[in-house]
Amino acid sequence: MKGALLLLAFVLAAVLVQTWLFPLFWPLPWKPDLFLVLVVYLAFFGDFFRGALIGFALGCVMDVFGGNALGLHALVYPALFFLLRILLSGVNTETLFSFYYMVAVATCLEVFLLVFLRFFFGGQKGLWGLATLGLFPQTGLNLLGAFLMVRLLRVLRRGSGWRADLPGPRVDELGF
Amino acid sequence: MLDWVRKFRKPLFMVALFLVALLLYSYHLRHRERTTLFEKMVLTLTAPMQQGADYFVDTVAGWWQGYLWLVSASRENMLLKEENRRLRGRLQELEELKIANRRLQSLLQFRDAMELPALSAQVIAEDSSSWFRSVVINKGSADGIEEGMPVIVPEGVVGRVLRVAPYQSRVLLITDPSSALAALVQKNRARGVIRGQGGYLNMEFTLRQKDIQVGDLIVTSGTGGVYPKGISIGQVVRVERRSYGLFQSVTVVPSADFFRLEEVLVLRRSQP
Repeated sequence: MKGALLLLAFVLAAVLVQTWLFPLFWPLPWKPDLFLVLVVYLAFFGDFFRGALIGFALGCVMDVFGGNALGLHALVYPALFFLLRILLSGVNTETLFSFYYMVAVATCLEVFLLVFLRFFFGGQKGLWGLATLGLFPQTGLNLLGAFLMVRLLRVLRRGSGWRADLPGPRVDELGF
Repeated sequence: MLDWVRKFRKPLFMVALFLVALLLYSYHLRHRERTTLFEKMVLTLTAPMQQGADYFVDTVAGWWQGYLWLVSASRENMLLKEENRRLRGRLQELEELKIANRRLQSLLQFRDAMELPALSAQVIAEDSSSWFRSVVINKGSADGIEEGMPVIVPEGVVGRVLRVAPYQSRVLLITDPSSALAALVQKNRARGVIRGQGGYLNMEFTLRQKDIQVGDLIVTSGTGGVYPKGISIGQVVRVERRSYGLFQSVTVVPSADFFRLEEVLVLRRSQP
C-alpha cells in the first residue's frame, strides 16, 4: 500500500516537474524524463509482470501530458522494460554505475523507438534531426533525474516509516 | 498446453501487452482529435495541482520580495533599505504590470480585429516529453473549446487544440513534427505545406520555379479547414533549390515566440 502511494506521489511529482516546474526555470525544450528513470529502476529491481504493467500505466499517463496520440509511450515503456530486462541479464547490476549506464542506454533506445514508431505508424518526417540534436542534452538531464531519484531513495530509506515497503534493492548496501 | 503457457508466460504476457498498446496507439492515431474519458479524467484530476503550483509560486515570490529580503538587513539601514526595496519592488511590479498590460492590450486589439469569435487563455504547462511540442491552456470544454480549434497570438499561428478536458486543453504547436498546415508565400501566393521541425518550420511541396526569397512572409492559406486565411506563420530564413526535383526546400522561423508563450487566443468556429 505504501509502495503504491509512493509510486503515485512520484508520478504526480514527475508530471509537475516535467510539465510545469522545469520549463519555469529552463528555457530550452528538453526536460528530464523521470518516467523513463522509473522504468529503468523497475527493470532493475521490480517484479516482471508488475513492472511491465506499471510501465504500461506510466506510458498512458505520459501520453496524456505529452505527445499527440494515446498509446505511444504506453508501447515504448513496456518495450524498454522488456529490452532492459534482457540486457540486464548479462550485466553486473550491483553497482550504482550500471544503473546510470542503463539510464543512458534507455534514453537512446527510447529516442530510437519514438522516432521509429512516429515515422512508421504516423508518417512523421524530420524527427531524426530533432532526435540527434536532443539526444545529448536529454541523456544528461535523464542522468540528473536518476541521480536525484537515487538521492531521494536514500533519504526515504533513512526515514523509518518507508524502509520496509520501499520497492527495490537495499540501496545503501549497493553503494547508492 | 497449460505447461507450455506456463513455460512461456513471460513472452506471451509481453506480446499481449504490446498488442494492446499497439492497438491503442493505432486507434488514437486515426482518431487523434478525440479526447478519451481516461485523458479527461487524468487532466481534470491534475488541473488543480498545476494551477495550485502556479498560485504557490506567485505567493512565495510575493512573500520573498515583500518580507524575506528585509530579514537580513542591519538595524541601522533598515528603514532606508526597506523604503528602497519597497519602491524597487513596486517599480518591478509596475514594470511587470506595464508589460502585461501592453501584451493584453495587443491581444485585445487583435481579438477585436479578428472576424471569428475568440477566447483568451493562459498557458499553464508544457509537454511532459522533450520530443513533442505542445502546451496546456487553462480553458476547456466548459468554456466552449473543442478539439481542432486554431490557437493564435497577435504575432502569428500557435497551433491547434488537440485534447480538451472541462477546465484545460492541450494545444499541439505548429513546431511539432506531427503538425502540418497549408500555407502561402504572401508576396507571390506560392503554395506549400508547413511542417514543424522542433524549433523551426519547413515549407514542403513548393514548386521550385516559384520565386521565394529570404525574408518573405508565410501566411496561412485558409485551406484545410482549421486556420483562417492570412494569419502570419513565419519568415523565410533559408531557401534551397537543388538542380533536380520538383520542389524547393524552404526553412521558416515561426512568428510566434514559443519560448515566451503566456497568453493565447483560441478561435471559435461559431458565435456561442
